[in-house]
Amino acid sequence: MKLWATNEVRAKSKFWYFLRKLQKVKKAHGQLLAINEIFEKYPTTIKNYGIWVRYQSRTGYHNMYKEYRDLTLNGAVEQMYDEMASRHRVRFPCIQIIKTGTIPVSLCKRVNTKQFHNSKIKFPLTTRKIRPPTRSLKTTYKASRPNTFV
Amino acid sequence: MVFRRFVEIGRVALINYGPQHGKLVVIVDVIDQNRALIDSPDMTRTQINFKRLSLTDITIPDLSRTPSKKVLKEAYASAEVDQKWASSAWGKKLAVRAKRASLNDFDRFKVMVARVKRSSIVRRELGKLRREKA
Repeated sequence: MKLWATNEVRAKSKFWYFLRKLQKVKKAHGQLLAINEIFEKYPTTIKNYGIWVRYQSRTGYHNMYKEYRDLTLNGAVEQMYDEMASRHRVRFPCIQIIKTGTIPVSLCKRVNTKQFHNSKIKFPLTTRKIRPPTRSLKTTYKASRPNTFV
Repeated sequence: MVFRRFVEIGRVALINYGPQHGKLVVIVDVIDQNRALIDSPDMTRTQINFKRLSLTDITIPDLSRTPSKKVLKEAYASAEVDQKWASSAWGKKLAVRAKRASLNDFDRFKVMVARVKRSSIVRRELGKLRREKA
């Protein structure tokens, strides 16, 4: 079973939670054989991740399919949690990841991911915020107003 | 408002924030609206936020999406990115800044002597012009 948790203890707990929904077995009657962290095989290639989510809103349970472009599956899952929290106010405990997968370019559904499927992609960075290279060089007052054009 | 510097594959950018501040990198792919995949002959390929990048005028032409390291190194060398950077006004400014920051006390003394010498020549000429005027 593949699941996401911030530490091993939480991972084991979540494992038993999901397993109880699949089989009639609980932690007291079962034995966890192995728990392994899965590392990303190709963390320098960009992939399109599809994540199927079941989440609890204020009025009931819903399913969702979300797409993210990222280098790692963990990165995509992190994006998903952040987006669910911001767009739907759904927090971590109310989200269950049903399925994840890397989606080939032809099967991507969301326009937001498909717009980056362009081998000659080109766009300007429209605003530029100049900031000091380290936080220690930050000053409260500046001599002149900033120019945010590129 | 004409935009001259674009995020594109092959665009050379300067990292302006973070632990790799000051390094020149090449954009080899765009992950999403906020992040790019960057690479450089002497670093591993990583992602970076566009907020940490300052685009330069230098591009490596005809670079394919996510080239292999070997291809990137060859393209970087043949496009003479480092030479173009060193001869650009921006690159020269940063080099001067770095040099000034790395001076030791004796170097600063030498700079002071040179400045005094230069200003004395200027003031001598200025004095001559004033005496002519008067």
